[in-house]
Amino acid sequence: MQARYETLLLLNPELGLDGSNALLEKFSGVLEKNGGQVIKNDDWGLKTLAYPVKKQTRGRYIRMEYSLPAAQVSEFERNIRIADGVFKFLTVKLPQEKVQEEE
Amino acid sequence: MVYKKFAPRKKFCRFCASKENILDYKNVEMLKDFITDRGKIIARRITGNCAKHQRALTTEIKKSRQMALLYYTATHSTDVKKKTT
Repeated sequence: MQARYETLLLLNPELGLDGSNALLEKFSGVLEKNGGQVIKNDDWGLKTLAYPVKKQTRGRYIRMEYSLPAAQVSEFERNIRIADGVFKFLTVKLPQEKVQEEE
Repeated sequence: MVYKKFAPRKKFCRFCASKENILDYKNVEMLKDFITDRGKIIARRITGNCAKHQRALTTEIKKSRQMALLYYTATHSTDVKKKTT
């Protein structure tokens, strides 16, 4: 069974809704190409950041939940690093118990 | 004269007490209970957390700081920066 991961992306607010959706689609494409599967995309909308990042005081948070072979995670992160407009991201492996509960 | 002893309220670990309190870096409101106004993590002897959960809590707070959900110090926070500029 593939492990489940979640990635929280912090995007540049200047991208706008269209730009962030395009990015999200691109990332979903990368996931599926590498044998992963998107489970949920969760848009938190524009939020005020706790501290300014690249002189911006606001940012768009998007949480992606997906399953992916463990070896492909670094490849996915590499793609995120290349993409423009991503301020910060954090990938976390979801605990196995929580995954089983949902199923 | 009867000497009245000061008995503080018994502290308990919130995460041991209820399984619904799950430590998560995304749950900022909950993490805010365990940091000071200046953003410092409050010691275990004050909050009453058990060692295991305090360890987990610090890593979650630090993750949250990385993602700009919490500030590292109050002087770097957006609120302060807005006032000074």
